Amino acid sequence: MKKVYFLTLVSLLVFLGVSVYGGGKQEGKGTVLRVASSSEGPEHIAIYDKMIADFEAKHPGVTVTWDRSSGDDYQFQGLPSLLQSSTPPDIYSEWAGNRVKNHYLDHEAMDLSSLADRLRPIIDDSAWSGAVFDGKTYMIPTSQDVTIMMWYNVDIFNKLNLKVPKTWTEFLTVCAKIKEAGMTPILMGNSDAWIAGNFVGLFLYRWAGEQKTIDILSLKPGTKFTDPDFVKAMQFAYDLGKLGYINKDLNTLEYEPSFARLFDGSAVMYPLGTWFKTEIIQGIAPDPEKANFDFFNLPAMEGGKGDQSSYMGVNAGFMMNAKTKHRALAEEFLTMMVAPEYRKEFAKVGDFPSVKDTLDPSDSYAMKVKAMMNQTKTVVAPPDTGYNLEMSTALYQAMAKVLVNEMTPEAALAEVETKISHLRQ
Amino acid sequence: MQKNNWYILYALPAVILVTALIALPTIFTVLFSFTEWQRFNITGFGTLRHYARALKDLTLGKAFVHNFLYILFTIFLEVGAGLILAGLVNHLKHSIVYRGLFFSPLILPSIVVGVLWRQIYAAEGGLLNTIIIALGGKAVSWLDQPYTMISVSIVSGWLFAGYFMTIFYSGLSRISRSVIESAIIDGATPFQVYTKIELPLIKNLIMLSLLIVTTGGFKGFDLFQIMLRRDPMESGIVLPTLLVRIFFENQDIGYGSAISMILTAVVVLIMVIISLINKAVGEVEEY
Repeated sequence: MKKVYFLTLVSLLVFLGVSVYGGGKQEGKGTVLRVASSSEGPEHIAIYDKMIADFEAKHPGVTVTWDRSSGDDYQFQGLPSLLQSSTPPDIYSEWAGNRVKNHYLDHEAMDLSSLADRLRPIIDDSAWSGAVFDGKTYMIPTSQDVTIMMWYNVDIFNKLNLKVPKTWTEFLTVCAKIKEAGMTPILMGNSDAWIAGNFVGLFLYRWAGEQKTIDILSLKPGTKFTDPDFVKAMQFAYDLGKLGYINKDLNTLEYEPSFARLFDGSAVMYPLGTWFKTEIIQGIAPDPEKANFDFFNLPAMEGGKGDQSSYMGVNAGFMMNAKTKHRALAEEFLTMMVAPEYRKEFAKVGDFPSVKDTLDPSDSYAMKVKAMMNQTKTVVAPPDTGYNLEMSTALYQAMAKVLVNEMTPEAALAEVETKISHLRQ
Repeated sequence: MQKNNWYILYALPAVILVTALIALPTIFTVLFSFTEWQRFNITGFGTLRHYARALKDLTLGKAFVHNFLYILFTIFLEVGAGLILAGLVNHLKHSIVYRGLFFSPLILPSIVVGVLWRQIYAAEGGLLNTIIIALGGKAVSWLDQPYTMISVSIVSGWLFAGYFMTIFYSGLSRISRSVIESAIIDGATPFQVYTKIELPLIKNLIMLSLLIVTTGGFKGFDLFQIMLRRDPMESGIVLPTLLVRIFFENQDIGYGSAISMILTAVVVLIMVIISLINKAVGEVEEY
C-alpha cells in the first residue's frame, strides 16, 4: 500500500513538474515585441496592422503587440506607467524635444545612432531636430506635424464673402464679420489645455521673436515671463476673448465633442494641426464628403519681432526602450516603420512623413501644407514638447485664464513666474 | 510557552503584508520628502526645500481650499441627503424598491458617471442648460468658476447619498418599534420622532459617516479627472489630481512626497478632531 502511495506521489510531482515546465516553455515559445503609442485614426491603425502582419510573417514565432491610449493620457500617465511596468514597451512613440531628452536622462532611451546613420539617407534632415542629445540619436522620426494652422469653413467664408486674412488686422476684421453673422469666429475645445497653449504659444514667438521666446521658455537666467513683449503677445489673446471672438466655454469644452459646433456651422475657425484633415474630418465629421474646410497659417502680426511666416511644428517618431531584450528585432521594426512603401501609405491618409519623396504630388492638400512649410525656415516648438513640462503647464494655465479674461496678461504671467520660481533655482 | 510561540506564525502573513504595503511605503515617502532628486536619480538628502516650496505654492493652497469645500459640500450632499433618504425610506412601504433605486448610482463605474454628468453640465447643448433655457433662463458654464466645486460635489452626492442612506437605514431599522410607538402615543409628530428619537439613536453611525466622508474627501480623484480633464483654469484642482500631476507629469518625487506627508498630517489631524468631538458628545449605547 505504501508503495502505491509513493508511486502516486511521484506521479503527481512528475505531472506538476511537467505542467510547470510546459507552462514556462509555452511563455517563452514566442517572442513578444511590445509597441506603445498615442492613439491614431482607424486608417493609420490599418496601415500599422498591415506592417505588423508583414513583420510577423517575416519572423515566425514573433508577435507584435501594440498598446494605444489617447494623446494626453498616453503622455502623462500611460507611457510613464508602461515604462515602469513589468511588461514595458520595446518601442514607444514620442514627440521630439524635451520629452525625448527626459527619456534619455531617465535612462529609458536606447542610443539609436548607428541605426540613424543607416536611415539618414532616406529621412529629411529637418526631421532629426529634437531627436539628438549629446551627439547621440534617440528617436527615429516618422512624421512632421504642423501643430497650429487656422482651419476654416470654406462655405461660410464664401457665404460671408470673406477672404483669407494675411495680417492680424485683417484677421480681426474676419472675426468681427463672423460674429456679426451670429457665429463663433474661433472655436477651441481646450479642456486639455494644449490647443490654446499651442495657439497662443505661436503669438509669443511671432511677437517677441524666436530667440527671446526660446530664452524665456528655456528659463534662461535673467529672463522673465513678465517681459513686456510676452505681455503684449498675450494681450492679443486677451483681446480675442474680450471681443467675443472665442467660445467662452473653451476651458471646459472637451476636444472631440467640440468639433460638433464646427460641423454644424455654429463656429467657423479652429486652430489645429495637420491631423485635422484625417482624424477630425474623416473620423468625426457626420458627412466627411460635405465638410468643406481649408486652412491658413496664423496671419502676420504687424510690428512683431519674429518671423511672421513661422509655423509651430513638431517631429514625431519612435524610440527604443534602453532595457529592451529584443534590440535587433526592434531595430528591424523601426526600419520597417520608415520604409517608403509604408510611409507613402501614411501620406495618403494625411501624414507628413519624415521620409523623403513620400508625398503624392497630385495631393493638393499635402502640397499646400508642404508649400507652407517651405515658405519659412522658422519652425517653432510647442511649449509642451520643446521645453520643461511644469513650465508649460503653468504657461498654458495662464493662457487659458487670459483668453477668458479671467486674468490680465500681466497678472497671468506674474503667476507663471511665481509658479515656476523653484525651477529657476 | 513554547507551544504559544506557534501563534506568531499565524500573525506573520498579516505582519508581512502590513509592513510591505503600508509601513515601508510610508517610511520611503517620509525619506523621499527630504531627498533631492534629479528626475529619478537621488542627488542629496536632508533637504527641507520641498516643504519650504509647499508653503509658497499657490496651486497647493488652491487644492487645499477646493478639498475642504468638497468635503463641506459632500457632508450635506452625501451624509445629509443620506440621512433624509433613510428617514423617508424607513417609513415607506416596499422600502427595498426605493433603497435599490437610491443605491443604484453606486454600481455605475465612475468613468460612466463622469462622462454622463459632463453631458448634463455641458455649457452648450447640455441637458441642464437646455432645461434652463427652455424655462427662459440663461445658460451657465457649470464646470467653470465659480460653480465647479458645487457641480462636482452634486455628482458625488448623487453617487454616494444612497450608500450613506443604506448605513443609516440599517441603524434606523434596528430601533425598537416600542420606542417609536411610545413617542407617537405621547403626541410626537413624525418629524419629531425622526429628529428627537431616531437621529440621536444613530449618532454613532452619523459620526462614522462624517469620518468616512471627511477622510474620503481627500481621496476624491476620478470624478475630478474625468469631468474636468486637465482643468486649465484650476477651478477644480484637488490634492489627488495635483499629486498625480506632480508625480506623473512633473516626475517630481521629492515634492510629491512632501505634499503626501502634509496631506497625511492634515487627514490624521482631522481624524483626531472628529474622534475628540465624538468623545466629548458621548457615544450612544447599542440598542
